[in-house]
Order: sequence, then C-alpha cells, then structure tokens
Amino acid sequence: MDALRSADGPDSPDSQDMTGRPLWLAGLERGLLTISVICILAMGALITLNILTRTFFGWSFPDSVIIVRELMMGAVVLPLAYVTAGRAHIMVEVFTSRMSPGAQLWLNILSSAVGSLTLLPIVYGGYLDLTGVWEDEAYFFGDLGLPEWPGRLAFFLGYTFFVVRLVVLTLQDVRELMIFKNKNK
Amino acid sequence: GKTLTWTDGSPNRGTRAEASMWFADQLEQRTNGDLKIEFHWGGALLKAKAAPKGIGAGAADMGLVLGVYNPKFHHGLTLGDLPTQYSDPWVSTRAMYELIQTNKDLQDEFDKLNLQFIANVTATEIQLICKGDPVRTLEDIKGKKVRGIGVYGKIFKDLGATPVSMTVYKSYQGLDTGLLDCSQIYTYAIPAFKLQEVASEVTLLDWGALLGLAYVMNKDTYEALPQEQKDIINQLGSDYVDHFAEKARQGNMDALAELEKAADGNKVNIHTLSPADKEKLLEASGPYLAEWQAEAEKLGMDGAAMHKQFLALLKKYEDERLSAGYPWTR
Amino acid sequence: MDPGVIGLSGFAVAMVLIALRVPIGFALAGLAIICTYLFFGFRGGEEFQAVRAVYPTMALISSNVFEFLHSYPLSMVPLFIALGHVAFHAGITTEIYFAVRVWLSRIPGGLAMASVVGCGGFSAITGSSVACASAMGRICIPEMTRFKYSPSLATSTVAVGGTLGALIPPSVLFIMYGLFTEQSVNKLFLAGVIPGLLSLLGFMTVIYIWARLRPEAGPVPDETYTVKERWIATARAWPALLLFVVIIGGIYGGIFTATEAAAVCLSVAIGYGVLARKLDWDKFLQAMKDTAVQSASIFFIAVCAKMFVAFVSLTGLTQDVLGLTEYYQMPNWAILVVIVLLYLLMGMFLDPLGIMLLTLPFVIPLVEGMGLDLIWFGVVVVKLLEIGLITPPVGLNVFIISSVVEKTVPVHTIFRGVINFLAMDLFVFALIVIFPVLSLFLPNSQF
Ligand code: NA
Ligand code: NA
Repeated sequence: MDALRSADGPDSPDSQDMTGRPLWLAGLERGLLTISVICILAMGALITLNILTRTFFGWSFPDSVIIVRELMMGAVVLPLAYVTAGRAHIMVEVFTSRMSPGAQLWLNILSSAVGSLTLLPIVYGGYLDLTGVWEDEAYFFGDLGLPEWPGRLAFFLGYTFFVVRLVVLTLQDVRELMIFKNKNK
Repeated sequence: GKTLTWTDGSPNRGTRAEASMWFADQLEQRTNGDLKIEFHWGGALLKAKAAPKGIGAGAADMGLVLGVYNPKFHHGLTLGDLPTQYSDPWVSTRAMYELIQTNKDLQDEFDKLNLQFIANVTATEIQLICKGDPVRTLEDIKGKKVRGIGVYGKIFKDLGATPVSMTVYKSYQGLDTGLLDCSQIYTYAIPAFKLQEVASEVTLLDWGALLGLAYVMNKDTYEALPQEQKDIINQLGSDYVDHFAEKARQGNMDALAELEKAADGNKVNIHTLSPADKEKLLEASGPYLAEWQAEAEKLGMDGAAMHKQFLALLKKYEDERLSAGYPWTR
Repeated sequence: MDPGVIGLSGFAVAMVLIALRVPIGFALAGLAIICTYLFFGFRGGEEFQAVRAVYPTMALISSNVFEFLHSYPLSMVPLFIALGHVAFHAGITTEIYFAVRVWLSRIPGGLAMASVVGCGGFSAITGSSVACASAMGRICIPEMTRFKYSPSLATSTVAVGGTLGALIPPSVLFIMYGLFTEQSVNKLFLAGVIPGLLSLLGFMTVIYIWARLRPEAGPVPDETYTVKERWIATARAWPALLLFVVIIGGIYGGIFTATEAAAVCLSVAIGYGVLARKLDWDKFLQAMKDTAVQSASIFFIAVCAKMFVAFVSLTGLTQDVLGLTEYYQMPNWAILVVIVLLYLLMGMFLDPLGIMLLTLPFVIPLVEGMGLDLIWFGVVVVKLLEIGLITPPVGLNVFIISSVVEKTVPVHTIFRGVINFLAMDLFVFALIVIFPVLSLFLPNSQF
C-alpha cells in the first residue's frame, strides 16, 4: 500500500496501522458519519411525506422547510472529520506527483497545517454563534418556533472534529517524517 | 471623506433599491462628499439573516435588517408585521418610524444589537394572486394551496388553505404547474415576476403590510461621526421614509394600471373582499397579537403599551393623510 | 494598505498553495479569511487595527459559511447524490447502460455519447449543474470504466455533460438571472433550449472525433445483438424510465417542485431496490455512507468559494473593473469583450452563483445601456458560467467528478480530457453570441 497517498477511510483493514491512528477518534468519526446518513434519509423522508400529505390530505408538515435546513447542517458538516481522515479532500496533484517520498511527507504537513490554521477561525466563529443563539434563546419564525441551537451545534461539532482530525493528522505526518529521516540516514 | 459599506440581501432592482441609492446620493450631497456609501447587493457580503449581527460587529457599516429573520432579538420590530386595517405605505411607515424613534423598549432592542436605527420601509400592501378560481370571499380560500409569508401565511392556513413553502422566485413555476393555487404577493411584484403570465385573478386584501424592515447603522460607526453629520443622517432617514413611501405607492399604482390595461396580452381580473370579510380577516389575527404580547412581556417589554402606541400613531397619520394629503402633494 | 494589493498578493499565495496540493478548500478559505482580516485591519487608512478587525472578520466568515449551508434548495444536492448511489447499487443504471450499449455498441464512443445524452435528460429534471454532475457521474463512469474507456474520456464526458444542467430548463441560474433583470423566467427557459441542444451536439461531435482518432480511448465492444435482444434489453430498463416519468410528471404536473423531486426519486429508487430484492442492507449502507462523504467534500469547497466571493465583494474589485470601461468610453463591442473576459476569468476561480451575485448588479446596467436584449444576454451569461464549471484551476464540476470516482482519477487527468471539449464549447459560445436568433427564436415565437 502506498502509505503516502492513501485515500482509505478509517474503515479500511490497515486503518489501525503502525502510524497509530487513535481508535477513539476513528470511532467518533464513524458515529458522526452515521448521524449524517440519518439526517440525509430524514430529509428525503420528510420531503416525500410532506408531498404525499399535501397532495392527498391537503395537510403540510409544520415547519418542514426549517427542519430540512437544520438537517442539512448535520448532513453536510458532520462527515468532514471522516473525509479528512481519508485525506479525501479535493486537491490538484499534477505539479507534485513526481516529487520524492520525502517531499510528499513535507507536503502532507503543509496541507494539514494550512488546514488547521484556516479552520480555527471558523470553529471560533461557530462557537460564538452557538453560544449566541443559546443565550439569546433564538428561534426560527414558523409554526413551531423551533430553536436555532441544534443546527449551530451540528455546525460547531462538525468543524471542531474537522480541526481535531487535522491536528492529529499533522502530528502523524511529523512522526512519519521522522521515521522516514531515520530510515534514510 | 469616509466610505460606509451598505449590505442588502436583495438585488439592486426595484423601488427599495432605487430609494437606497437616492439615500446615498443625498448623503454625499448633504455632507459635501464627506460621507459616501458603497453598496453590496444580493447578500454578496452578508446574507439577510446574518445582517443584524454582522452590522453590529462592524462587518458592514449599515444595511437592511428584517425582523422576521431573527424574531427573538427583533421581537419589538416584528409588531410591524402583524395585520392591521392600515395598508397605506406612507401612513404605515410613518407610524412605524415614530414608534421606533420614541418607544423606549424598541430603542433598547436596537441598542442591545449595537445598532443605530436610521429609517424603515415596508414591503407594501399584501395581495393574493390566484390561478383559476378567484378568491372573492374568505370561504374561497378553503382547500386552496397557498404560498403565504409570516403571520399572514399562518392566517391563510387557519382559514383552511394548504400551505406550500417556496420562495417568491419559484412562485412563477409553482403557479404555472398548478403546485400553487394562490400566492401571497405585493402589487409591484406581480409584473416584476411576470406572474400575470401564469395567473390572472388578483384579490386586493387591504390587510396591513409587513413593516418590520429597518435600515440600521453600526452604533460605533454612528457615534464616531461628528454631531453635524449625525444630524444630517437623522434628517435624511426621516426624508427617506417619505421618499420611499411616495415611490412605492406610485410603483404599485403603475403596476396595477399596467395589469388592468393588459399591454402584454395577459388580462388580470381584480377582486375585493366585502367589508364583513375584511373584518373577519382582521379578527383572525387576534391570537397572533396575543401571542406577540405574551412573548413581549416575557422579554420584559411593555407589549400592550407598544401596541396601543402603534395603533394611535397609525390613526394619527391616517387622519393627517385624509385631511392634508401626502407630504409630496402639499 | 490598498484592498487590491491585499487581494492580489493573497491570491498569488493561494495559487502556490494549490499547486503544492494543499486541498483547494483550505487554500481558498485561508486566503479569504486572512485577506478579510487585513482588509478590516487596514480600514480607514489609519494604522493597523489588530484587535478591532477580529470581530467583523469572524462575523463575515462564520455567518457566510453557516447561512450558505443552511439552505432548503441545496438539500437537492445530497439527495440527488444519494439517488445516484442507490440507483447504482440497485442495478437501475446497469440495466439502462446495457440497453444503451446494445443499441449504440457499434458506434465509436457510443457509451460516452449515451452519457452526454443522459446528462441532457437529467438536466431537464434538475435545475442544478452540480447535482447533474454528481448523480450522472456516479451512474455513467463505472459503466464506461467497465468497458475499458480511458479514464480521461469517461470522466471529462460527465464533467462536461453536467454543464448542460443550467442551460436546459429548468435552471436555478436562469431563475436567479430573471430575478436580477426582471425578465420572464419562462422566456429565459425557452431561450436556453436551442443553445443547450447545440452544446450537447457539440459534445457528441467531440466524443466521436476523439474515439475515431484514438480508438483505444472508447473501444467498440465486439458483440452483436439481434433486434429481439435489443428490445428485451430496453424493456428491462423500465426502472430508469419510471424515475424519469416520476420527475417530469411530478414537476410539470404540479405535484412537487424541482427541489422536492430529488427526495421523491430517492424514495422511489429505494422502494424499487427493496421490492425487487436488488438492494440489501449492506449495499444500502455503503450507498448512504458514500453519499455523506461526497456531500461533505462538495459543500466544503462550495463554502470556501462563498467566503472568497464575500471577500472579493468587500474589495469592490468587480465595480472597479467595470468602472474602467465607462472611464475609457469604450465602444459597445469592446465593453462586451471586457464583460466576457471578466466572466471567463472569474469562472476560473469562483462558483456560478457567486459570480452572478457579484457581477450582475454592475453588468446589467451596462448591457441595458447598450440596448442589448436581456434574454439573449441571460443565455450568454449562463453559458459562460457553465464553461467556468470546467475550467482550471477551480472547476467545480471537475472536482465533483473527482470526488465521485473517489480520486482514482487525478484532477489533472480530468482537466486534460476537458480541454478537448473546451475548444468546441467556445465555438458554440461564439455561435450563441454572434447569432442571437439561436436564443431568441423559441421565446419570440411563443405567442
Ligand atoms: Na436544467
Ligand atoms: Na472554473
């Protein structure tokens, strides 16, 4: 297996290899992915049911649009850590594919480091927004006056574990680089 | 000079956008070019829902906030969104302007968000456009699939309609395919969205208007201005309300005339409700007013007093309009 | 510091990072965040305000990310991706590909052509190019790979075919354009039909030539089928036909919106898979996990592009460029050339909706002033935006395809294939610009 360009998720047989990916984190990422799947299925089911009841009984689910918007947060933000664990983010490899294995390790570190720094402000902003809507007891205008915090919480959690995974990845990359350097001494 | 960034969630088309550009021109003129405005339309800078917090934090200097997007921290402002018997754009915006300027609870509400209130506008009178069977009486609404907005949408549901959620931009397709029987709409928006191509029965409800729309400025930006410029902005805010009301009223009248003339080959039929039905429509908003007041009390506002003051102001400006006419015709 | 200088230097750094295979989302978002911070810090020409700049930056960044994702219409994207995966695992797509294969098997590049036609059909269903590329990518590429099509041809075909999504009605971009310009949405939809079909024809021509020049890229299977066998294969493709009928019938019959169609189709596809015993629990779970992973990576890039748009808006860069045309009193054709170049340039880096938000407020008054037809110009803009979806370095459709094939085909291989289509696309675009009648014939003959 080409350890440097691995696109495997934490499910793959060699996910607990000697690079030492923390198991608790992999489990947590799978959990978040499962919640995301549930959110996607719930969106599909809610919209379909709403069409059926509207067409046949003249009745619409209260606040179905707001619920779908909230489910969107769970659907598309929560799997980000899982995606990151598999290094599955979209990138341009044309200029770097012929570089040496040592250079590839450096590039891995650069990616994870830039990513972590980029995401920190988003996480912090998400934290401010979450505490903001929590303290304000903010809610959506609608039939049910649904609170705003669940979507904000999903957003905050999704991005927090995104960063955690990136930091872990950076540390792993540094370790791999050290092992590589020792081997080539 | 200083350039102020202005965020707006809507495109730079239509009466409201033109009035905003008038505001910018006037501000530049009246301050001899010391204050300029740079517009960011269509939510390119801040989405509409994020505007109050964003402006309060200084991500933009000023812009439009809508009470309905953040009902919790604009609760006082959303009083303007409840139905009343006053639909005239000048009467309703003037009353709202004075209410916000003079009511302590409303002032506190803007202060808490670090916002300075500048001016307010209205989406103008709420109408209903239908495909097929027109709505001539309240009974006709029963069983129809209706796109409604805010409390008005809730009341359509109470009256027996099936609510269908979609944006105003999709209402053309919705009416065209029959997914919608009716859509809540403003007069000027009918030709703007070409709805007369797919639906031809317009009912004038004469049932109030959405008024919880305010132009605000970052409080720190405002406070940092010299007193002379603050005075100019305050006066301009008040002038803006009249200017907008004049243009909005004219826009709606032109739109209606154009629809009745059917210049594009699409004839529109206009319907009105009987006085008894109008009375019933107003009564239907009672529970929502009570709900609003209960929430206001919970937030520590004197909701009953605010509502009473609002009704008195509406009456005051309606009387002024009837006796003296609009300011621009005096 | 001048916002233009901040923007340009930040931009150069982002390009270097992207070239060093830093994920595109990280590079764009990092650039947007740092530049926004610098912009607020240097604001007002005073000295740098390190602390005061934090709050507006945070407000802009987090609110843009959250509000962008917190969207009902966008729910269509994960649901259509799920549809693609479920249809794949339930064998719906295999059946239709078998049917197409037995009919087109003797034509060079037949399966790629079928994929482009499939994209055209799918566009008539969804209003979104992104949804089109993701769903059709999942359906078509594995089949083409199975028949030994070259990865470059297989992936670029679908990336390019996906751009039909917004040209052939219904179309989110036309609705947005119609609202900005107060033009009839109906007429805009009709105006897109001929240019859409023309683009489709152009893509088929490119595939034919490609497969002729390099037969190994689109091999002709050496099987022959009787007429009876062909019709049996066609009949077995009924589930795909059912989905098509559900979508078209539902939308045009007034039962649901295009947004809601995705959910209905997903439900129908799952129902079929379970009843026909073609979708077991493991396959279903795999389909849904793949959906979640892909949706997350697609939306992450889109969100980063949105942050970037907000920053570009803050600098007033688009206003400045268009202001120059007025300043130099350019002739009409030159202004039009500037506008087209601006769109092509922006299309290399930004997403279609973002470009529209940024440019239309300034472009439309210019175009109106020239007395040009706004319906025709709508087609021009949408075609340009669609071209932008497949141009490097930021080609959203290409990224989506890359994510659909789980990165087994590198981004640059897809772009290399796309280049073959770009020349034809620019030719079709030139036809649309030079002959406005292509766009205006249908809407004007409506009444
Ligand atoms: Na389409
Ligand atoms: Na591009």
